Amino acid sequence: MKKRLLAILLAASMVLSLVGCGAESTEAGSNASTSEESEYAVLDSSIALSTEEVAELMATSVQHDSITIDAGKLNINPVKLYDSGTELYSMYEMLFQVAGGLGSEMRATLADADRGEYGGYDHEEGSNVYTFYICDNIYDHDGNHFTASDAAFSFEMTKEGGQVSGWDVVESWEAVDETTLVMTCTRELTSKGELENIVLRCFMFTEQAYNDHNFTEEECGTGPYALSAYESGAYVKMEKYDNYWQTDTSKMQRGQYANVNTITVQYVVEDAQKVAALETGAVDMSQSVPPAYIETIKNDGLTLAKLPGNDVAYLEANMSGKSPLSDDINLRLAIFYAVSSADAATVMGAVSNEAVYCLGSSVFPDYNDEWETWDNYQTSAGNLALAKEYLEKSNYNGEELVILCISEKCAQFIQQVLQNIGIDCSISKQSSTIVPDILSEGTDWDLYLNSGVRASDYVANLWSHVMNGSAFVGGTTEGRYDSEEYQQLLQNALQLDATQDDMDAFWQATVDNALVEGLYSPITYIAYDEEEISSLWLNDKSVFLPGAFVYTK
Amino acid sequence: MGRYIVKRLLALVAIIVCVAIIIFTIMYFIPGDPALVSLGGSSTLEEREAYRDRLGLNDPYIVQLGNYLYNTFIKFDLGESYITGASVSRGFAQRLPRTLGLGLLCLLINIVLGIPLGITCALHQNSWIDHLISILAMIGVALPGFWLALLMVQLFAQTLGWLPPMGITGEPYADWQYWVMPVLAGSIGGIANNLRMTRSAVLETIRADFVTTAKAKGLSSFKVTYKHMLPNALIPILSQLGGQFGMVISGTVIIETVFSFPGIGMYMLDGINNLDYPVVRGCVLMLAIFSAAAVLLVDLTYGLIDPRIKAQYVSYGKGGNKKHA
Repeated sequence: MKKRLLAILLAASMVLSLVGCGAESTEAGSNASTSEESEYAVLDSSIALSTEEVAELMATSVQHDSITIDAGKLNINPVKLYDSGTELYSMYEMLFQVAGGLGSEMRATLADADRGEYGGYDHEEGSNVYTFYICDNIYDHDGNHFTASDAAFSFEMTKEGGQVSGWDVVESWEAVDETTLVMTCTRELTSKGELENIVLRCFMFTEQAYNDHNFTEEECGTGPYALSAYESGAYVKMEKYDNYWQTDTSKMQRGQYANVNTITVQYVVEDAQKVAALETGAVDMSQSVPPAYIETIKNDGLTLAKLPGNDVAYLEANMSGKSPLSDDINLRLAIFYAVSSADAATVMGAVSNEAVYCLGSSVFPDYNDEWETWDNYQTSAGNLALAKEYLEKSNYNGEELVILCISEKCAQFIQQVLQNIGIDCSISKQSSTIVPDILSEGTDWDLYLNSGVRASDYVANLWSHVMNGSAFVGGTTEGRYDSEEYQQLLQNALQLDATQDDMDAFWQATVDNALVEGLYSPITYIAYDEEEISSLWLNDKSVFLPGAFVYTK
Repeated sequence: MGRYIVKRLLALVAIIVCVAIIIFTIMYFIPGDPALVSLGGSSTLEEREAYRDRLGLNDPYIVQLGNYLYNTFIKFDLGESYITGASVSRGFAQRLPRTLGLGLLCLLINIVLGIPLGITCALHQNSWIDHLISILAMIGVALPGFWLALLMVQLFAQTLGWLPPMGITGEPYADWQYWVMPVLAGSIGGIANNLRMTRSAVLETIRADFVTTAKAKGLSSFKVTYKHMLPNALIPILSQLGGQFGMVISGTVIIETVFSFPGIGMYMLDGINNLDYPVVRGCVLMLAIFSAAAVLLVDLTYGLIDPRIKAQYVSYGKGGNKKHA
């Protein structure tokens, strides 16, 4: 009897623990319609203010004592850009920074805004030379004078750091004098974001500081904050640097302000830990609230703001010739008409995902809202009748199609939808590190579900991540679509002077060939205390700069 | 005995070299491109090729292996992280004290609580004490450590506000509060296992003739238990502890992740996720060294406890009994 009782208790405890493990957290309000916009604060960081307006706004801020924010990665090495976050952007500066949101104009930071035709640099149309002018009063945290030769050195070290792309177009950086840097390229930079990809992706430091310090453990930048404590893998603590070189508020960009004395960036990985950290005050602000805890955070009295989503999940067809989809446009159309992006967003959680009707969203400056009114599979709301029509016209013989994915939830929804119209599917869930090899091989997948492709400036660059032949084997798109004409349309859309017709032509070609369907854009929620912070600020990489916030306490 | 130790140390070196070759080979054949991870999807094929060339990833297997073995065992250089550029040796050294501290504290609590409780259960077999502690032990074995950790965070940090939920401050003596929950969460399973193993081992010994003789001689129960029974019961317990000791560093990954505790486990996990080969290889190699050394230490401890085993070691050291396991 006792043994039986013990056995029952053991079984019960094991079942209880398994239930606790396996219980999938449900997203608060996942089946509800999107919450009222008024429930969430609006970020004003996309508004490009002049330096005078910035100064006026910053003058309204009190000097806050300290703030702790969470982060999923920590890195203080300025030549390694992979994990660059708040800590690097607070301690180091670049020649320029963006004035507002995605794709907004560059404003001089270390560059001298009073010189050059473009406010810090000169460039003659048709030329492959770019001339940058550096302020002559810049000093780093060791007191070293920062000159144009240091800027050239910074570019070269960052290139050597090996985490930049698109820099092969640069032949050389050369300091003409102490305040003039000449960048010579192999050709003129005519693509959208091409210049920004260089000058907005390089932290500046002096050669002397580079030689004197081990940048993986120490810091010596020119920014408004200096490193005060660093525990690798744990946290970064920064203090306001009192001898910051820029004191002229008429020239200061927003990211150059230091409205808080101490910034701590705390490494937090687990979702539950993020919430615990917010609730216990271990962190004051979360850069990314887990969707399942949104209601919990709201109930705790914190304010939630929505971060504009610049990444898009999409479904892509295998065009390699090794799949039934490759030569059967009717089958592709049947699939894309069946899958509704609105339903996909609802399945993934209506609160944390927004349906898209293009491979991109209106957060990008070159996005055309009219694409959402075109009559195609992208804009249809899961037209199953039309999907079945196309399926009947197709050559589909009942073979099983493989949906390749990294995350299964949306893939399961797609599988159900397709099976409802008579397309047999299986799911192949793989690690993100293996997926590129599978895609290029072309044999073990028919549909690819990518949970998010991102661009930090233009929708054309987001398209480029998926469709540019120079990034994939054989010069094809990611889905192995091989067409020189299509690649040319993409190049036209990527040009700085691309017209609306160029953009329309590319998107039209994409939907005409049924290559890809945009599904949803994940929404990021930021949690903070509105009674302490009245205005947040983030740069084009969606990195928060607490020094640039407006504090009320 | 000295000869035995020398032979084991030489074998240890050979084992470590083999582990290095195996882990290098596994990482070599793992699919995935570190260049794509570092440069991002917008990079061109040429850029990724140049990145791989720079890191020597396009060299033939044997060349890469040779370079790796040379750097590791001759220059004692584990390389630099592909992601942060930081020295892997340095990163490991920074995190080792934290993980070692966490693991050793867990082990200490496992021993201090698990063994006495197991002895208590055995001595009071079938009493209410035995049943109660056994039930708690079974629950401790059944509960997943990470789930328990999350419950502890909710209770002690969020609800009661007694302890901080995660991380460390970097000041070893000031931030003891940050260690409480990770140590507790990491210990529960070990205490339960040790308790049950000790109970079982002592129960086997308790009916031995020499124990009856000792009781008949009028020795106190304390002496009978701790001077006569426990040394004989310790061999299987020591085997269990040896395994736990070997897991001191490698067994804390989940606890470190839940508590954002910056130790070796998280370092290695980040390396795996980012295809940061030097970090993964370096961590696995150091873990292998530690585990092998821990096994050697446990084996030597057997010799201290049991003279019969010590005699076997001595014989093996002189090239005698080759069947020594």
